[in-house]
Amino acid sequence: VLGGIAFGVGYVVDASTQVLGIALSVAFAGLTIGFAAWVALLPEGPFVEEREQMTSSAADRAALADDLGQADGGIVSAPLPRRMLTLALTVLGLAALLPVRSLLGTGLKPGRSQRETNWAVDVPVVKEDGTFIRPDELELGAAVTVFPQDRKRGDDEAVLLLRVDPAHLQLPAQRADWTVNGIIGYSKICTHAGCPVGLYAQGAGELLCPCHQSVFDIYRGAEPRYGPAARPLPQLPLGTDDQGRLVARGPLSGPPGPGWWRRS
Amino acid sequence: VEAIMILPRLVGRKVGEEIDGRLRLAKVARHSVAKVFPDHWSFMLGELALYSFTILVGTGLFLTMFFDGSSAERAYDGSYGPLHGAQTSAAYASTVEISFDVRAGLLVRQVHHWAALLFLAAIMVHLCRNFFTGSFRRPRDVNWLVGVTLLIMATANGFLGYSLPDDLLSGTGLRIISGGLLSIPVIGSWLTFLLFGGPFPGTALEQRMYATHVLIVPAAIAVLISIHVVIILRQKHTQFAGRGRNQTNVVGSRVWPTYAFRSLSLFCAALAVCAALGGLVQINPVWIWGPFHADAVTSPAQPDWYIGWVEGALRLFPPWEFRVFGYLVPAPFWPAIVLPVLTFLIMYCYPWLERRFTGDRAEHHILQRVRDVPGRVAVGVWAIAFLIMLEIGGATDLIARFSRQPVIGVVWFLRIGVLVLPVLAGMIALWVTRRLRASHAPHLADLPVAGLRRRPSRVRKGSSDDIARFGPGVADHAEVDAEDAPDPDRVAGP
Repeated sequence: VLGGIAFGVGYVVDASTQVLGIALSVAFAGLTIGFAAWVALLPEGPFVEEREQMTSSAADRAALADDLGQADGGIVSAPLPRRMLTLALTVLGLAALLPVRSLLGTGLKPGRSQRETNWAVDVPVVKEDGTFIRPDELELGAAVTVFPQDRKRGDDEAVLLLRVDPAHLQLPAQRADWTVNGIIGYSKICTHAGCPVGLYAQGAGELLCPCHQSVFDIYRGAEPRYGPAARPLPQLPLGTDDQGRLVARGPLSGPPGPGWWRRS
Repeated sequence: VEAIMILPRLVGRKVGEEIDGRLRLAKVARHSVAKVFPDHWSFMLGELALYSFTILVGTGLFLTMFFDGSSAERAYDGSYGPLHGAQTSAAYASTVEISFDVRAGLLVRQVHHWAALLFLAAIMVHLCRNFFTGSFRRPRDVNWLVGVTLLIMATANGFLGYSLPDDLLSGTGLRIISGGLLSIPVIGSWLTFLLFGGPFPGTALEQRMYATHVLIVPAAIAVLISIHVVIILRQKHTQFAGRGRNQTNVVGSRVWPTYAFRSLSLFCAALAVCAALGGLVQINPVWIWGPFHADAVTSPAQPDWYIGWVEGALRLFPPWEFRVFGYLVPAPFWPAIVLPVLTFLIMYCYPWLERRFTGDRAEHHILQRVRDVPGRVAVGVWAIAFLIMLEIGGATDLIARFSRQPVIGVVWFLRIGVLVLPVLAGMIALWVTRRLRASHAPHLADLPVAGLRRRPSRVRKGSSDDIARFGPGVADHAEVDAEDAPDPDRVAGP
């Protein structure tokens, strides 16, 4: 009773969560003890109740089968109406499956939309707030999340820009000119399960995914070093336009994010 | 005053008579209240799960009055300063508002979350009880299927509820789910796009999760619980072996009054614990995680514990990807899809697997003691140890932080540990149960046999039961006789 009153008063005066919780808990604890005491005072058993085995007798089963089989005079069990019913229900069931397609809505369909992003030749690189970036803005060791100027797939297109010492870079030969003054861009979406690869161990030159601890080597094209990810983070070829702003020089080196059946 | 005191009873009787006058229920009701239910603390675990579910429905109803299950962007303008003016989804904003601006809102929200954890814990312990005592054997194998389905439903709804606030932590969890679904061969992409209404995160997800969480799954759980209980009523509850107890009876206490009050007491205890936890122990402070942005993430990142074993498997599974006819089978497919499906499939099939192995097809209403079936104990302990190791694997980042070891070392230790330690645990369990069985050769079921002598340790256990059931007088008698006399059951038996 006291707990109940305390909860009521506490609610009216808008007391803190802790006070309300304690009041409610005291009220129910009181009821718990009360009921338990009641049980303790009750006359003790044991009482015995009979139990039947679960299986029906053979006679009962046979009688049921007879009732079901003969009561209709053979009309229900005749083959033609039964087959017609089966056919009708099957067709209806299949037809009912079609509206499942509506779940897809009017949005993007699987396929190309999984492969393509808005990163392309001369697409300006912008920060979260939409401002452009000049290469000299980034100090050595800086890391900043950027997007294509027009975002189609929202956050899947996020790219992490890192400014590193160019001497450390050991990129594949065909990617030698994908960086600008040691600024290198990798997709921020993990190739394992799709978490943002948000932890940057600058000294070790590693990007680490906080979800499942996949580790990517930023100097070697973000190849996975260890952890559960099997594919490197796609890289963004970077360049500058005539106004000195950072732009993409082509699409990402692969589809960003986790793998799927038809991923090439 | 006396007239007022007696009034409720008169009204109650009148209402009862009016109802009976229309439905003729007196006989049925009399039969129900006289029903006998066997006494053992472990038989109350399922009931605890039921009461947690009741608390969930109650607190959930309150939360639906305030929660806005929509991903539409709006500015947060509640009383929590640090988020003032932030553009967030309506779902996130309304969750923070429930926590700070609705009276008792935070209490109810936290009680709801704690009750969900209690619900899952109670189901799992209940499942272990049924597993180790062999209650899933015929004819209760059918109810085992219902129970495993309930566990899946409860896990799914727990995760949906955890995801609804659209905060940074749970959004990352959904991202991982979408990564897992994408990895399913052939249908993965279509399945993911259908569920999310487009590529992750999509705009349809929030309202779909909301409808599923508050309507579809709870309705399914309620129906399944009803089926679960109706089957128990039909088959009557199992009991442990003991004097006077056999396959064709149930020995215990009656529904009215003993179990009615015992149940109410348990319900109030569950409420008291949830209220205390909800009031005093903070859980899922979404205002600290912040709203979800797919390009941001929190660290460390752990999901609720009942899903942690899948998270651990994702972390420990090696980066094995291969191609089938040129098509990719991504690494998350095995830990995120195959492992859970296989786990629940084996759980569903277990009664039939064991039957194949033992050849035991008989109907059983007497439970086994845990030690009676060492093989099953070994399998069960192996499975539990395996899941616990995966669960630990879900915290590799925390272990690495606190042990100051590199993450990769922790991962390799656990990769080996998850394979080796459960096998060791299973073997130890096998050895221990065999020793236990051998040391207490007489089974409880065999005890009433004339002239059987029991070891003192067993008598002590038996006699404490006697105190509970027959009062101190009889128990004293058993104590005295225990040393060397004929079996006390012969004397004390009903």
